[in-house]
Amino acid sequence: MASLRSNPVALVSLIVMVAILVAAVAAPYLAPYDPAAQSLRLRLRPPAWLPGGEPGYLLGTDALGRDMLTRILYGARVSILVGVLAVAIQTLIGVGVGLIAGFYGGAIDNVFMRIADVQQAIPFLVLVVAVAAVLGPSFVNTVLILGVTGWVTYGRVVRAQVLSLVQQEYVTASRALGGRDWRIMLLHLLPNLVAPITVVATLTISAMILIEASLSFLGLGVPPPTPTWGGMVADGRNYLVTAWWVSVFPGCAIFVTVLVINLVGDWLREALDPTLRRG
Amino acid sequence: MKAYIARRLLYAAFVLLGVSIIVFFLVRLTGDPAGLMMPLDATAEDVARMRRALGFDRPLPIQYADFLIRAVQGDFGTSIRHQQPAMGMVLGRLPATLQLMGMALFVALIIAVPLGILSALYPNSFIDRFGVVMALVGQAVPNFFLGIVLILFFSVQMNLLPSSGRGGIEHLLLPAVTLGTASAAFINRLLRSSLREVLGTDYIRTARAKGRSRREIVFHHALRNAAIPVVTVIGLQIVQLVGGAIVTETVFAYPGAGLLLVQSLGNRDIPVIQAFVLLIAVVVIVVNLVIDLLYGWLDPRISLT
Amino acid sequence: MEVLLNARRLFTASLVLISATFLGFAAAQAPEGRIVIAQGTDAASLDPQLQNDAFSTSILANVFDTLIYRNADLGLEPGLATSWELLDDTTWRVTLREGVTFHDGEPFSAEDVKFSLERPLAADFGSPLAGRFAIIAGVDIVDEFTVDVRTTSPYPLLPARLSEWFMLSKVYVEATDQATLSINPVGTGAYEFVEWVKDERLVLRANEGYWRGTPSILDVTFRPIPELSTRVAALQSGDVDLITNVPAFRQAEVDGNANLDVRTVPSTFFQYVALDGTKNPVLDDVRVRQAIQYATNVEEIVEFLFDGAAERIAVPLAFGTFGLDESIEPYPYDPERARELLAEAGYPDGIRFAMDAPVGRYAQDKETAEALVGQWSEVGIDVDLNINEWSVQLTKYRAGTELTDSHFMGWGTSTFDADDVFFGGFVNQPTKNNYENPELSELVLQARTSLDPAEREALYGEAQRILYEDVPWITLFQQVDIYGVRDDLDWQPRPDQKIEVFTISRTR
Repeated sequence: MASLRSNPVALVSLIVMVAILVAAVAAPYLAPYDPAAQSLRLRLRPPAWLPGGEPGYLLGTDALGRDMLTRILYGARVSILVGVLAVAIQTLIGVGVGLIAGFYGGAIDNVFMRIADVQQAIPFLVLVVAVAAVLGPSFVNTVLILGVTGWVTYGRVVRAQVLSLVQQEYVTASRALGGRDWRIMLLHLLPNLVAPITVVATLTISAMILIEASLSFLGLGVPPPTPTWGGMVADGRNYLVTAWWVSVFPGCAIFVTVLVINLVGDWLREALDPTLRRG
Repeated sequence: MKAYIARRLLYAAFVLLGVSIIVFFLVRLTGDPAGLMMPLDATAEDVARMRRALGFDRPLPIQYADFLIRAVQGDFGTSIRHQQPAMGMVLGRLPATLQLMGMALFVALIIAVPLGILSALYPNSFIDRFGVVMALVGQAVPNFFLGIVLILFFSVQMNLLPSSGRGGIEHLLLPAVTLGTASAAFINRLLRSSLREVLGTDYIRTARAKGRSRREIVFHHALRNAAIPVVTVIGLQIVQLVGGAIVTETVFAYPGAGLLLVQSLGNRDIPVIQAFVLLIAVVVIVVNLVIDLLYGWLDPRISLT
Repeated sequence: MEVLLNARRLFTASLVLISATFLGFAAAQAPEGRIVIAQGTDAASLDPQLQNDAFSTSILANVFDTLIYRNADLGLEPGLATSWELLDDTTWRVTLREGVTFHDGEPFSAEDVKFSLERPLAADFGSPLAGRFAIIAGVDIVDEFTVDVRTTSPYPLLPARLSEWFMLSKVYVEATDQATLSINPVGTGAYEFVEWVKDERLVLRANEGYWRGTPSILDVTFRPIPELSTRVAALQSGDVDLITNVPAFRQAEVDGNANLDVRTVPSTFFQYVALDGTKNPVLDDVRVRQAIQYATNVEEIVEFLFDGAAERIAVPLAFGTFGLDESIEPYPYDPERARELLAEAGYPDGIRFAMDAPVGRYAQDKETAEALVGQWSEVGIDVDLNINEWSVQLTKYRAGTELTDSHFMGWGTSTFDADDVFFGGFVNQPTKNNYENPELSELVLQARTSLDPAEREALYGEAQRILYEDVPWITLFQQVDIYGVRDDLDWQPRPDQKIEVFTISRTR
């Protein structure tokens, strides 16, 4: 962890990230209003510091007169949780499949990769529509669908790395020496995968937050009244000309979160990967 | 090599069969296309009659067998909404979408590759930081939002480019930038990290110690190795572009396949959805095959057996 | 009856005279110029009998004509038929206009009318409108320009139906395969079909030999632009000349543009929430249903969410609908009364039920549903809101059993007659919200077969009072359609969302 002290950018990012997480967890205590409390009369009020702004509504109000600040705080919980949980599911499945497929190769590899082909060939949207129609749109279903459909990226990246790694002397050597498969996978292969996985994972957490936004755009996201950042940007897009704050503030929240996740991710990768520190 | 490709094509047939089964039953779970195109005051009998006329009243396995037999002969059914051959409709939309995706990928690569190489060579430099910021903007702005902002600025404010629709290259610019930005960001970051990793390995250091020029090292040794994960991701990006294209095409009213898919899903136009998915499946299979062949070329240590 | 029909004929005849003189100036000169119209969705099919959506109809109304024409003031006047009258309770004699030709040069005659009205009745044809055509028992050709339309029962709505059914060419349809018919229409309308690139553009050209007179504008392009912001941007940047469904909150901005104008018209669409007492027994109590109506502040939604571009309704009928009793006042917003009624019904601590609502279907549909939930929560009515993508909502609606305790929907009439909602919504399909009221059914069924307008009006008056007291549906408001146009367009929108380009001209 020594590198953190020499890396002020990462330090600041980490602090901001923790702050966002705290804000998300403590939203009920920090938020000035109930996220569902609406007042049509106070609809689309600009931020408090602008002309026409309503004191008490720091970041203004949305189309139903709900407090933007409150909704952004509550939205943090859902959006971050969607991203993290979805990526967790993807990583678990993807790394498992990629490791096994790449390590054993042959028939096992074949079966897994064909499953990946099938999975990949069915457009994400078709699955989302199917889930929304059959199970109904909900937070859990959104996470599940994002998680279960997203593993292929990890699977392929991991498999590609493993394919290259298993040819290296130290792996062939430990195989020849009778090392157990799972030991080789966990001790020799997995550590080498941490760097690419971290990169993909950090980038996908933010991608998941954005995909949730796209789903909201198509009317298939986490359903209201639950506020999500993506949903807020999607709803606010129609007001971009007349009330920019409705979409821009949640957009900023996404931006800052993605920024710190990436910066922390970069630092984490360098801290974890010995080759990079020397280079 | 030939045997390898032949075997892969055999697998492809199984994949297509799997996809067709899943999609066939999945789409039928989501709702009844007959009811969706009828007026609110239609009675249950009216809907039942419509289902009969469309052939949806038969048992599912029989419907599937019928679909499969026809599909093998190249008949993917007729769109319920539009009464046109389903596969023909999808194929008719491909040129527009391929144009958009090609342009988007071009935009992405032209930004991402030089930026990624420079970022890896000069970590923490200005160009690296710029790359980070650019990647973040690309990653952090929802597609549809970026699209609308671009329209507001370039067509409403500046009156430079058309707001929507299809036509000449000027119609492609805004949607391609909208669609390509996220991919540019992704490829840029991945190339940077992967290239830095390779530059840190022993053999590159050996090469450097042997006095090889920096340019030679980067372009002859490092880039080729670093390209493996990047090629993987570009392949995936092509598939993901299809997803991004759906949103982009909707925003820009661009008559591509993505828009067709959204509408067909909305209408539960089952034959069109099936044709679309099967076509995508073929594309995915081909892309993945090409990627695997590329691996072999990029890294001879990987044996294609 | 005879007197009434004669009076109507006189009235319509004078209207024809007026519209003929109105169109006269256009006929004097050759059509010129081009107009680009952007709607939210492209046409589904250009076979009028294989589609059922406002977007297709809007385009088709330019290519095809109807026997009877519904004018912008909702009156019926001659179209391809010059007159129509009842021979007996179930037979209507329709006299056709002579000298009309289809775009391919074939003359229009009684054969085409018979063909057009009987085609959807074939069991294997699969028309989504088949249920509506089912009232037709058959069409008898009397001579080349006279037909007798027989109905299966006395049907007062036949003229209204004849004003929505487009006339096809028997010769062309019979000689052409379905795939071609659906993309290449041939009608008698003011505009001829030129080309259609789905989701990109649909081009029409003025029919110079149009029987109403030559249209003023030569070329028409319909473009679908699904995204609201893009559609408005396309108008602002000059890419298109006319757009549909401008959101209320952007009305002022569009109107403020020096080159643009906003045109509005109250549409035939109204929004409601249907309550299902069989799914949630709480809603079975009329006091609870009244309480919900009292707790609904429609004025607030209209004023703030729709910036005034909507109109409060008292009963499930849009203004201008035949049978509407305009003397019925809407329930006032009275949260106190709502609480009292809930307490009387035995729910002093409030109630809870679920509601299905669509997203992306009606103007600000999701926002309206959320606003309702917010208003109701103030009197202790807690609602579990399910926001459904439209096709999911409609699928649930069709299945009936899949809907939750209540559902938010919009209803648009095509006949401008109370029968549409009352028969379709409360009598013919009681499974949708499981509201069954024998007294109401009796009234509606009687009105459905009565050929005396005064009697029908009285029957619907009674039906409305039942609905008003019993509140099976929470009535909300009637939509106002907002169009954005270039300010040199001389055009007024219609309540039925059809865009008839032959009524458009340019002032410069």
